[in-house]
Amino acid sequence: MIADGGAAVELHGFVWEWEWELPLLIALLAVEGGYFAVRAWSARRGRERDRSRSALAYFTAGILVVAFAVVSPIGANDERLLSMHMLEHDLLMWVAAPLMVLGVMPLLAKADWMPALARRSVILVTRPATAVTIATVFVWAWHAPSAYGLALTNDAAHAVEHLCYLVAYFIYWWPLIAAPSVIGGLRSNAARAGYLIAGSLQSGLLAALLAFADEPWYPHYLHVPGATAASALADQGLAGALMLYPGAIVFLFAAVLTIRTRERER
Amino acid sequence: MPASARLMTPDGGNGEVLRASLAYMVAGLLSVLLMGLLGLLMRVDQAGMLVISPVWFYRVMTLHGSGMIASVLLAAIGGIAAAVSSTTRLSARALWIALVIYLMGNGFVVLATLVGGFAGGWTVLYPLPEHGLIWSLGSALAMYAGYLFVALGLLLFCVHLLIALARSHGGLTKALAWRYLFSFGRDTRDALPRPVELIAAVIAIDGIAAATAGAIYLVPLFAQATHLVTSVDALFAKNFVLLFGHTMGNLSIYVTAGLVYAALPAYTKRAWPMTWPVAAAWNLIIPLMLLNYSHHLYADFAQPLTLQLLGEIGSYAVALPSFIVTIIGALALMYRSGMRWGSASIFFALGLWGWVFGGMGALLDSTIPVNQVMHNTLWVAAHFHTYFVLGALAFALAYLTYVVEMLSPLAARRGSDAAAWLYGVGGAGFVLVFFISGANSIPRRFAVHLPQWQPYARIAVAFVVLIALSLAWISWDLGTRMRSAWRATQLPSGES
Repeated sequence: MIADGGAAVELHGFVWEWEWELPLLIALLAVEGGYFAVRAWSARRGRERDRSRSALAYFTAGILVVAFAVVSPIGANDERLLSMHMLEHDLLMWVAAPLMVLGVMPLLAKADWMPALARRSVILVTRPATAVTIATVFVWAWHAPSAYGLALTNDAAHAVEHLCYLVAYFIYWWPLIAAPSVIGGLRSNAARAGYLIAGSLQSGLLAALLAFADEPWYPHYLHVPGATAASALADQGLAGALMLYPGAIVFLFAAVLTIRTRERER
Repeated sequence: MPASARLMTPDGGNGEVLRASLAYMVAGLLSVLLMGLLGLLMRVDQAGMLVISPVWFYRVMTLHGSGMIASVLLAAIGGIAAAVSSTTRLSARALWIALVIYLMGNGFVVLATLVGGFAGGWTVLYPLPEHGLIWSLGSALAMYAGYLFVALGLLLFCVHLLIALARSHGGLTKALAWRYLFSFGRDTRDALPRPVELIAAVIAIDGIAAATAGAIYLVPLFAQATHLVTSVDALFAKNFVLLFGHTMGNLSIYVTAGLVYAALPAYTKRAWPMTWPVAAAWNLIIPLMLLNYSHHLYADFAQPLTLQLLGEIGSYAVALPSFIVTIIGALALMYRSGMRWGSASIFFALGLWGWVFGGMGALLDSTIPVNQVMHNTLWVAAHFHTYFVLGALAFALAYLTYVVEMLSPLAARRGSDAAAWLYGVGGAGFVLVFFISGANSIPRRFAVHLPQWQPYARIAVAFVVLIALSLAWISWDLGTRMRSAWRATQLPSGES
């Protein structure tokens, strides 16, 4: 229950509110199926390491996290509570996206099979400055009140919003997770540290602006039954905090996991 | 070059550590420049030349204070990592991870103050942050989170440094030269650490203590915010936050003093070996640095008298041994050495001067009868600005200049020596105005200055502009040579 001044958004039976969105689940199954197909095709081409079970487990876990974020009570309540919506985004950006990168990495690590145009595109988007810019633009643009409002009232826009986060952070995590020899992989610890700082700074700033705002950013949450301006603002503060603190912990873990003992510059 | 002044050659295997150390120093000093601009803004406001609202003044003051302590310490520990890395195997990975955590902490502090509006001062004295009327509990928590991350980064750095030094010397007591120390210099069976290694071990121990004190302070406050506890004892909180923050401030000056031992011999062409007074003085720092914070609680009637007395004794005792040993040692090293005067050696000389005068100001402030009159005046700002601007920062600049000189083939620009002297003139004038203001009972931490106080601030602004000009020149000079210095730290092609 998000309460302030006597008014509240009731969340009785919260844990039972699952929203089984069939189109989404079918889409996720299709993605998983596509992953299997590419994996099988890659295996036929004799890439032994492409068949690693851990990669499959990572990718499947990423898909499951996406499904959980959207159909669980977290996603089912994202139109009632901004904090739930933010938690949903956290799961997509900071849990699902890196898991999917880990899953896809063995398939894309060697870019020699890609058409030249696709290869050049991968190189371009995984450049550190491009990747941070994409993550920043997507996340900030979708948090603009008009865009966010559209996502809350239009299911298709909502799905596109989530897809944008997933893709943007898939691209963001790639250079960090990729080995230096892999296409797009960062080659020095200095680059990794700077990249992590840049990534945490942009999301931290947005989170702080949201958390410390004097008034609610999104009118939609003012019109939820039982909500008041105060409860919507408290919910927004919680949403900002849910982006700020878990985000910091994710970036801290990312630093521990991706900064290497021996770096390779060239 | 004397052994004590070595900086490992680029292909000697510590290139990655040197790179991380450079990142610490550069990040720290860039942050110092930004925090310095905030300081200039505050003095301009106090001079009545540009009026900012008191609400923003205190936000800026909070960020300036906390940011400066964190930034100077960051540059200092980066320097000490570079200095010990020539003989002690450090992990570049640990250094980079600690740096990221530390900078994330700084980011939290920036967000808490500039976005969240937290304006309770760097001391975040409990229970003020919990009940701020112009900021939310959320922004206080963001400030605490910033401190927690800084403490974690410092803790990781110090633990790693201490373990590395202990391994390198075959035990912590050997890294601290205890057998030599407790035999009054007669037992030299153990290989003695270089002075900078001993100092690194000392500051690592105190750094761990400071970071732990920070955690002891912060954890109950988080528990209170989540309603796990109803309230926290204010005196407990004040003691621990000062043990954390004041010790961090102190660490800056003592770490950078260690850099003098590491680099000054390169300019005087004389070795600075370990001696018994050096070992004794720096080992004494371990307990004494943890006692002197208490001089900030003289006005707290509830503070036990024992702690008040320990605060006074600790404040005197912490300064004198290392101070005398280092100052006399450095002057003896420089005397008739034919020292080459360049920007690094000028900064070292300024640092010694600033440490002496800042220390004298601190000793006066820590004397209880003086403290009761002066503590809430600009005298206090005078003493810590003296040993920060003219002491710790000057030493840190000297060491970074030295490292760049060692690594980069490019020579310093002609104007850099003059810029270093200009820094000294600007710094001396700036802190002198603070001292005079304090002697005239002008209060500190006042956003709005009375008309009769404003002339002091106006004079100070002129000196701050001199500092800014000199730092702009020095930064440009070092920045243009940094690229080649950075490249020089890279391993030869093919190694990984």
